[in-house]
Amino acid sequence: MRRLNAPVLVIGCLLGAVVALGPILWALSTSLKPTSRIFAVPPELIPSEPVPDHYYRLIAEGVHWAFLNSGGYAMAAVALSLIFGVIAGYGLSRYPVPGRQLILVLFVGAMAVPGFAVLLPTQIMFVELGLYNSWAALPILYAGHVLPFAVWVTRAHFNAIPRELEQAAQIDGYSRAEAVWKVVLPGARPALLAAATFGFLHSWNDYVTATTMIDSPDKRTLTVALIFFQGFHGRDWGALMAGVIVATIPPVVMFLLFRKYLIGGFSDGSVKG
Amino acid sequence: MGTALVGPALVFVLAINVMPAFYGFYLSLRRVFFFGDEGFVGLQNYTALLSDPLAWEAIGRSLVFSFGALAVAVPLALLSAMGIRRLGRWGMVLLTVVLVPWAMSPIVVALLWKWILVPSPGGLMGSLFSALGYPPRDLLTDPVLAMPTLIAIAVWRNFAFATIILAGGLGQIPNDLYRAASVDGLHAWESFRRITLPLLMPSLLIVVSMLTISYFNEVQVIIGLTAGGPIRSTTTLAYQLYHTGFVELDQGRGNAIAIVMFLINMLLIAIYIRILGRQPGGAT
Amino acid sequence: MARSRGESVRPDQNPASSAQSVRFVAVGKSYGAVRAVSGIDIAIAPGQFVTLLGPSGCGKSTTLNMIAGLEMPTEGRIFIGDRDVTTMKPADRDIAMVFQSYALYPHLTLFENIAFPLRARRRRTPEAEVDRKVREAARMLGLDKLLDRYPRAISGGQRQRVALGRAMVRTPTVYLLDEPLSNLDQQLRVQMRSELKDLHQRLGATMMYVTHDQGEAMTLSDMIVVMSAGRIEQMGTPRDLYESPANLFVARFLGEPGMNILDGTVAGGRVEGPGFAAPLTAATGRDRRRVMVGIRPEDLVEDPTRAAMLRGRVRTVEYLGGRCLLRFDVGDRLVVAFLPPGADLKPGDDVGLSPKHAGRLCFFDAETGLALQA
Repeated sequence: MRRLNAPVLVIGCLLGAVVALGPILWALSTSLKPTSRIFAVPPELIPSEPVPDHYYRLIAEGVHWAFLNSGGYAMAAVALSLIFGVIAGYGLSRYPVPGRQLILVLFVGAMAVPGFAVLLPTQIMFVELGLYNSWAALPILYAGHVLPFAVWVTRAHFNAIPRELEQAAQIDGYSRAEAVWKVVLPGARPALLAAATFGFLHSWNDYVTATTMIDSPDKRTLTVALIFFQGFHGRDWGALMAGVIVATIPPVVMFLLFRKYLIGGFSDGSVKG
Repeated sequence: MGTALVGPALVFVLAINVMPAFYGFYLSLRRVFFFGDEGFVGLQNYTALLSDPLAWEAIGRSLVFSFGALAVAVPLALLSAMGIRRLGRWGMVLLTVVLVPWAMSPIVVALLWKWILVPSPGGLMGSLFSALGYPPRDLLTDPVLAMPTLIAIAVWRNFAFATIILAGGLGQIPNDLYRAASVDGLHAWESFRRITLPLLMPSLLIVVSMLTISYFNEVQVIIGLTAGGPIRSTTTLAYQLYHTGFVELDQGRGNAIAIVMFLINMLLIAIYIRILGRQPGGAT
Repeated sequence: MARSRGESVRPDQNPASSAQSVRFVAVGKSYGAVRAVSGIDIAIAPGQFVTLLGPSGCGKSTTLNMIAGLEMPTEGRIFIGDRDVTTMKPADRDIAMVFQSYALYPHLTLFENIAFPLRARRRRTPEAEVDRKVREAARMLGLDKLLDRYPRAISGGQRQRVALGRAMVRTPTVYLLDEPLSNLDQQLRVQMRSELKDLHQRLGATMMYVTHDQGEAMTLSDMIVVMSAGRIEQMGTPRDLYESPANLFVARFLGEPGMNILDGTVAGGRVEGPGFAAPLTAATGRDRRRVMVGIRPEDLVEDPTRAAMLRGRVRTVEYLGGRCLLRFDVGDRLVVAFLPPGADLKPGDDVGLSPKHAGRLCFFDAETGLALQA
């Protein structure tokens, strides 16, 4: 049976790979063509004379600042959510917490509620609090979106680390905080990486939160900057695809580096609990 | 001690994810326009919303979009998960490849597909049409085809996320069961129907509920590709909320939509948590 | 007990304290209304190997954890050397502990695992000395060639040695060992048991050991503390406990199989019951008192005469090589005896047995279960 299905399987896999990656490679190809060749018929799959012009164009338009903003927001959000998440995950794993069942359900629920559903009141709330269009707005919101997952996945990992390891470290002459730092956290590395990667992807990839919370051009994220760019230069597909590639590289690289932890985090966190 | 450790995260999550819902409810009972609160109007925003045929149409399109995407994504995810299990080490490579679109930004995905769908003989889809002997056609401005196109792109973007969970679920089915089944004389299809499907049911239910929530709230791909058009044919409830609340700035009514969406989400999540809690070793 | 907090050690115990390495004074521990252990008084001399022995749930691990500082007693005081450590943090107690699961740090190499306690900030050991101490311990335990490996890459017995090594580099006042052999297979367990005994003699250290395996306790210990239901049943050398158990629990718990116990009534200098009549060797007081008679399986010999102490019917005979195990019914009690391998008995045979000599009999009060003294 295995032999019988092998060709079908291989063809299916190749097809899947082409459908998944083809569009991205097409964008890459477009971004490297001189403007005059972009609409060539028949299409050139591989640019005959690759040029970096469209990428320079993005820099000339100042899109690189938005790139840095996106990176900064994402890193701040990851740091915030990890700090709060690790502490809470540890507390839920090691201490009796009144109402813990309710808290866990709340975190699972919050993990599932998309931020978009409550974005409108959040926007009005942030306007009233003076956080609208501030540098802090996006890190706070992204951290809030990612935090439930961070708590969930670190708690699951802390649960899997035997209490005896901490006890041994305490007997070996370390304080409880040192024991957590030297023994528990290294053991929970996969969970930390899963939460960090997820947090980065969520923050970097967001558009709708950023476009509704930020007004000033200097505070824009890359996604918002690209949509603005499209608004002004809607037909400049070369530069737009350069933007697509630039916006895709960081999350895809993060994903490729830490996919093992991310995939593990999702399958332990959501299915096995 | 435990409370002191969990407290900050709990307050954070409540402030960002829960409090806005209550505030949104408060605002939905008032007339709010362009950030200006013009006073209490009771349930007027809701009655206006519920008596608006356009709102019902939007809900209908949300259902078409969500269930349409679900109907494509779940079988696809199941098929790819089974393929990935079969492939062994190469399966992980394949999983990684199909997950790349999921790692991308939805709005970037929209930009990318907009270029691919450009109705010109030099575009990727255009040249495909030409090769098949049709003139290039703009799928995104066709009132009939826009919705299926959006569904296909939404599925392309994130079905692989479901594959992770299904592949994990398949991995937990002991191989001995299949050996026993083949000893008992079951055919491949029979062992799929009698062993794989029932044992995979918990993972399938999780996948279905997670994808439903995700598709129901999909807005960025729509903003980027069709902005609800042509002639409202891709205006789902999620897009309607975006348009009313953030574009028209009719925030009282927008919040009424947000509350309706929030309640539908809560319902979906309640089902999701029930499912998660029912399986052995589940979350709650 | 709280009132003794501020006081110094009671004077009558003071002279002894410098010669003791661990001392429990009336220690107890409750969880809410549930008393886990109570009335623990133990004094351990330096260099002794002491075992806390008892069935699971008897409070032996709780007792060990209280020395370690992983749990706090709710009454009484604990001393290590002459320091009152009752409420001290584990790190301040100068103890080392080997856990049942070994608790090796999975992200550290064996070298780093063993060096871990030396590198604690409070000790500030110079790296050269850390290196010397770790290598010395590793040599003693035969781990020299494995120091760059990670715990997951070594066998169970080796993990056990790493855990011991991590304890050794500390040269602690007391070693605490919580069922350290129970995760090993039978053969390795016997081997590690001998190694542990060796190590104890070479280091001359005080060790406190917790186990539910009476065989381990008997072979390793200078002193055994038998516990059940949160209390100490008896303390003493293995031989004391085996030969003169203080009560029925100890009599039954020690030995493999445990002591045979028969119900009887005192009548004219003898104890009689269904199927047996034994001469009294203990002071029992008046006639008609109900007592229990205990005899170890290896102390019984076949006695074909009419004067045999026990008469019963053979149930099974198990051939064990050097000897055989006879199981037979006396009245409604099942009694076991070790006989020479040639014993010619079949199930259903009537059999008579007597003790090798009367001094091997033990007597217990039927109501309290306590041993009756000769």
